[in-house]
Amino acid sequence: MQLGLRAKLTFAIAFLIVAFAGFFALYFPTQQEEAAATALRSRAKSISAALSTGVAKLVATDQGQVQTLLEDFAESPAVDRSDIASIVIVRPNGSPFARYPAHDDGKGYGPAPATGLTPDSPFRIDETDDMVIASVAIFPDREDSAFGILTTTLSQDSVRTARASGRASALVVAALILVIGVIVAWLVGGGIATPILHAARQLDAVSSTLVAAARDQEASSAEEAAAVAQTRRSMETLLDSAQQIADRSSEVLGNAERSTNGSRQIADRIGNLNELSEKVADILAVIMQVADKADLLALNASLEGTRAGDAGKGFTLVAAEMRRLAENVMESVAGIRELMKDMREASQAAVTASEEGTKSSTATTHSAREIALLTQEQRQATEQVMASMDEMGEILNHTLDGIQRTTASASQLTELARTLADIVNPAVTRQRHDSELEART
Amino acid sequence: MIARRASIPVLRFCVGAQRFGMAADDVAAIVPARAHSVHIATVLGLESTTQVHERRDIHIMVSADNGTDNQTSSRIVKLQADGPVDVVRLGPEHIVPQAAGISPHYWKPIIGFARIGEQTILLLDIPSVIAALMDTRDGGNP
Repeated sequence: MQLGLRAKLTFAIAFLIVAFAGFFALYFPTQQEEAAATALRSRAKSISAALSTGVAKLVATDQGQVQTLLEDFAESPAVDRSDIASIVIVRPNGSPFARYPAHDDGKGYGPAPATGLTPDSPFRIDETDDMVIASVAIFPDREDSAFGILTTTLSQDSVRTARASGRASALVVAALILVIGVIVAWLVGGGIATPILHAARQLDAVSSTLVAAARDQEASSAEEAAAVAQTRRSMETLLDSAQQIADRSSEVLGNAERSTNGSRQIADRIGNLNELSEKVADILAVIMQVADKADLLALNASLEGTRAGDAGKGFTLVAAEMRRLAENVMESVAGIRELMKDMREASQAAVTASEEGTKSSTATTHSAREIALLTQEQRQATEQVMASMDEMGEILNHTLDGIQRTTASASQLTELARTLADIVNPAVTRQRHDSELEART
Repeated sequence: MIARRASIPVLRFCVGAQRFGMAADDVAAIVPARAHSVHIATVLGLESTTQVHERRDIHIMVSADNGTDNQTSSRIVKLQADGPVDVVRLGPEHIVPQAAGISPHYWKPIIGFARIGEQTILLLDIPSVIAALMDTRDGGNP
């Protein structure tokens, strides 16, 4: 069975109180007995001293009054004779001189008087289990030899009574101390343990809340990290798309520039063709003038031939043939002019189409350059976003590490709080353990 | 004259869309039109819309009588006409008979009509044309 801190504290304080009560129960009666014994010895000494003085005076004057002195002294109201067993004066040869009580109760004269007493050391106390024996040598006035030895025997009953009384009092007091001490120990143990248990519970609750919050924050940080990673992947995809757009824009730009150059070359060629056409037209004009003059010459020749009559018939026929030739030439020139007109119109249409193509190619080139510029800006922005995502991810990883460390610390704190609560009151831990088992089942 | 000869040469030309003809024997030459030449349309009171380069100057030989020694001299009168200009021979079959009741001198410059195929040719009397030209140059004053 595991004991809690409160029980341990209570037991510890109770043990100290029991020890104190036991010590008191043992020490107090001993002290009482010792005091009673000391008092008894002192009383025996004082009685012996008082009586020896009186006896010493009477011995010199009236030895017959010694017995009376002993009885009067013992019977005096000032002397408590309850514990006086006997007062005996013994002569140096061992013969009794006087005694109290006067009547022998069969016990003799008591213990043998002490020997070896001198004027310098006339007093001696001896003890037995039942008696305290005080011996004092009686030296009459300035004599070196002792008249006798006064032996006062006091009963140890007072000492035993004091011992019993002290033990009883000590037991009562020890019992009271024990009871009060146990109550105080319980209160003190509870007073110390309850705040600790309360603090442990609060610490447990706070640390549990901290762990839950840290885990929530960890989950949120993990989600944010996942979102950042997803965003970064999207940025990478966007960057790839931007690169592909840039590549396609470059191709379109190159094609548009080539198309523009081709259109310009076509326009130049058409311009050259038009110049050649103008030259051909000039030549045709010359041919037309020549044919017209030939026609006129033939016409005039025909007139001459006509005027010549029959002689000019051949001349007229030649002139007519020349006119037909000239007219054929002029018709051909007219046909060529028509063809050249059509060709000029076609050239003009081609020039217009080329100009339109050039304009379209120029617009395409401009658009492709704008697309390339925008793509470049988009790529730079995407790279900046990716760098920001990297920094954010790094920060989130640091935050996640910190949260994990916080979670671990909070878990350790929770464990410490539960350990502290378990130390203070194991019943709480057992109750929680049972609740957890029930919750799991 | 037509009766004696099988055919006569006629200089055919145009004034606008209308074909005209005159005796080729009296024509001295055909040259490119000059800007200052008088158009025959002006002489005939018609209007020509052709371009100058499509016109021809017809040089007509005009006989002049001295009146003293019975000798004649000739001079060239220039008239402008529209093309095409050519020389055709008209026989009796081309001549359109004049309708009865119409005086030959009803309109002096025109002395008759000829027809070649689908074309009708108005035949001009050169002396009348020259006279009309003179009247035109004189501004209509005798």
